Amino acid sequence: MPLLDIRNLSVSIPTSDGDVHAVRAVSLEIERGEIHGVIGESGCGKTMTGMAVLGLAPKGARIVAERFHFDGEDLREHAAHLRGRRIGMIAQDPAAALNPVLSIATQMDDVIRAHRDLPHRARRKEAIDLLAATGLPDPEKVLRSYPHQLSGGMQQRVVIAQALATGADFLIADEPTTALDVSVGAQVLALLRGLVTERGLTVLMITHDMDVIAEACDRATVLYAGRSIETGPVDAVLQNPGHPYTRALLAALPDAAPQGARLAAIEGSIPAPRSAIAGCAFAPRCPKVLPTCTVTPPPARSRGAHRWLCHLPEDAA
Amino acid sequence: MKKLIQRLGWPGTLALFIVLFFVLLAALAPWIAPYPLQGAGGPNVVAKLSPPSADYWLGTDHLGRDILSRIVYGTRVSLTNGILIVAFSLLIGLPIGLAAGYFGGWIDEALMRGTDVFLAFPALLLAVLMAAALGPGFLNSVIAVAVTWWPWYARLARAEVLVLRGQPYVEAAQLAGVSHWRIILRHILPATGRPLTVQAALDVGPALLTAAALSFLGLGVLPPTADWGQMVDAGRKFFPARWWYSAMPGLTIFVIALAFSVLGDALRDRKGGTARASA
Amino acid sequence: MTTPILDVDNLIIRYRAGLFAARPKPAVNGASFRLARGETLGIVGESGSGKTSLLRAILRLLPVESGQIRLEGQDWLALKGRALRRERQKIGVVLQNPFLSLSPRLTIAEILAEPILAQGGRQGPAMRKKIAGLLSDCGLPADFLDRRARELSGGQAQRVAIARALALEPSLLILDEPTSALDVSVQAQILNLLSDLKERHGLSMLFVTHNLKVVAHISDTLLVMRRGDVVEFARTKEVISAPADPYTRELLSFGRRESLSSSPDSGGQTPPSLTGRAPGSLAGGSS
Repeated sequence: MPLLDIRNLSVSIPTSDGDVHAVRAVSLEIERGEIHGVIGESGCGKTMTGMAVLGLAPKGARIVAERFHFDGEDLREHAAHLRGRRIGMIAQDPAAALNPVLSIATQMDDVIRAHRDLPHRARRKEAIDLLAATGLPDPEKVLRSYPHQLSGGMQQRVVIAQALATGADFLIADEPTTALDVSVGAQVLALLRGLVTERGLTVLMITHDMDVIAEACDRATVLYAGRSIETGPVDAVLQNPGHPYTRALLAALPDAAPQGARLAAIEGSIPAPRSAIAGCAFAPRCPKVLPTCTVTPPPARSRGAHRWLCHLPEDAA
Repeated sequence: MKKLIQRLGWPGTLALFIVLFFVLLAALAPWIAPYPLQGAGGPNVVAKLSPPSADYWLGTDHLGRDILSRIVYGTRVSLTNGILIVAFSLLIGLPIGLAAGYFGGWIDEALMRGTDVFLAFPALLLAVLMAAALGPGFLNSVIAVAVTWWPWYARLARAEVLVLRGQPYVEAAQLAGVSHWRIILRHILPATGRPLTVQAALDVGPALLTAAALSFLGLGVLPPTADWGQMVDAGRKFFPARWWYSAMPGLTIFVIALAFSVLGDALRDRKGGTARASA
Repeated sequence: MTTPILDVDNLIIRYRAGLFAARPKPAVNGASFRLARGETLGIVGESGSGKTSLLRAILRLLPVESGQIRLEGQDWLALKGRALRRERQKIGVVLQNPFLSLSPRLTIAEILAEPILAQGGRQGPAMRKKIAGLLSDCGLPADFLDRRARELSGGQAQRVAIARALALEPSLLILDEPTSALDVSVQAQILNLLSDLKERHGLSMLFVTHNLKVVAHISDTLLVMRRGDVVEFARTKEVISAPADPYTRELLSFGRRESLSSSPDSGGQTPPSLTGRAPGSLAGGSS
């Protein structure tokens, strides 16, 4: 049984101009001990999916799903309880996630105290251990520091240590490296990989960056217009994509074409978040669109554990 | 109407209508006042200090003038007072704040230190001193209050400009070789002007209150022109036996000051858009 | 040899510290490079590398401590006041976030006309025609002229910003992270547009970014900065095939799948069961 099991999740937010379909049909199966990447461009619903799992969808949002389970518990009822206990969150901007006027010691201690009944000394030792586990070289000095005295990479490590302090075994990382330099981001990703192996963590990695997926993830799910359209082992998805959108997205990367050559840009734009979509959401922009694509929802196709939704037969894609 | 209540809330909408009502009173004073001649200052000795009655709804003063008519005429003085104070302050404060915020450096230092000198005095005391030095009279009292008022606009304008100055689109204009003058006129002023004007409109209330305080102290408009502050002062000699003489204009000042204050709060936290310049 | 568009020689930029503070390390420590006419130079660096300081010095927004900048042979640092303002038309600038760099109050037509008016152009049908031409050069139809920036998508707004930068037919186009705020598919459109413009108008470009892969794609020469120093300056092909500096190698290797294939836990997943899959859903087994 997957740790996180989502089947056909939709999140719509009613407004005076009609419903905004932030998430239309997302299915995710995240196994224990993997880093699962969720990739998509702005407006694809990746962040809202993460929010829904955390129980932080906006007030009034309608959450519908065939299955929306974390370790057998229904997230529609238990999300708020699981958050901060078993499900942790690593935000994009570590500087915003830490309180600028409190020392790291205070902020670590607050989290540890909330989850475990330990005497002061033991809590301090726990804090030092956790900071050391995130690869911070001098944990005692970090404890005495304030957020602004730390670099972005160090701040993100403190945030990860805090998430570990809650005892969470499932982390949702929303663009955890976007605010960091490439070299620092690579270190943070390496740290996450290490934690997954050492501590048996499971990570849902939300990102727009193919490099992050390639660098850190075991499996990946591609979202487009609020739908999961392709999922599978990272190697398969990146090297042999099934869905035309994934293929187009990879071809648009600057290192996909020879230097100076034209890139394969995707013409057109994503469907409006309020509109209804009959067939495949990518049909209007798809270079290989069939007449049926705009009318009928695409069937699932697969190559082993690698699955995608498309009308095109597997070899024609 | 429904939209207005939704945006300003009940108290805010009510306050807005009270303010509009006073503006209407001022504009149509000669037609609204029951005794326009008395409102303009003409005595009516036959009815000295008569209590509120069917003929004189709010009673009469020591010269027999209908207090209602005097209050209606006083609205003109008070509102013009408030508007002129704010307009003068804006005229001085806005350019100073713009220059300080836009050019920065020593220009900023010099202008803002100068502004601080004015802010160092208690505002009312400074106004009283100024008014006393200039002598009583309508224009003098306006100038006296405006002198204490403009530094606030200078500071506000400077703060707005500092934010705008760092906006990439202002930098982009500068990099395209657009002159300072054009950048200020086209990018800075329209964005600063709006929040500042809203603030100024809301300040009319407090400003006319200060002006009323000056005229209460005998430093404002000279009789026989009707003025609320001056009426409260004149009525003090007959208080409490002829209570209406002071109480009626006093109550009017209270109502209009309260209305402006409530309206100001409502506009500041109104839903769907703020008065700030940011896009 | 023809004069380069931009010739920077031993440029040192140092931020002023307090009166008694020790002299800080320079933000840019002796940068020297040249940009030939019709070519693109990519400047790559992370935060604190000095690339932004270098850029702002070239834009004359920041004073330099020593060194020289020559623009088409002219001593660029000697210009002041009105002369500088007039000569600024030689450099067009595109900034990172198009929504912040386009005034929210003006229409696209007004935004595009602004630099032309500033250099003495006149309003009129000719102007309208010129700015419509600029827009179409950047791949936008003329009916965008009366819209405002907030009505555009990120890619469209960035096209407007590029059109504005080209309004005065600059000899040098400076791009500061022009695609960093955009989605990958839109980034590709903008990079294609820049290649087109380079080809059509023989534009010389200075492309500043933290993303080595983006700039490696479109630049002829690469300059990599780190902590104020220029660690690499060579033809792009050479840098990509044989990076001289370990730091450059690190930047290039990020996201390359090879780095992972050796790790033991990749691909070690048990594939989820595929039986009983609901049609039209990516969900796996119904267990």
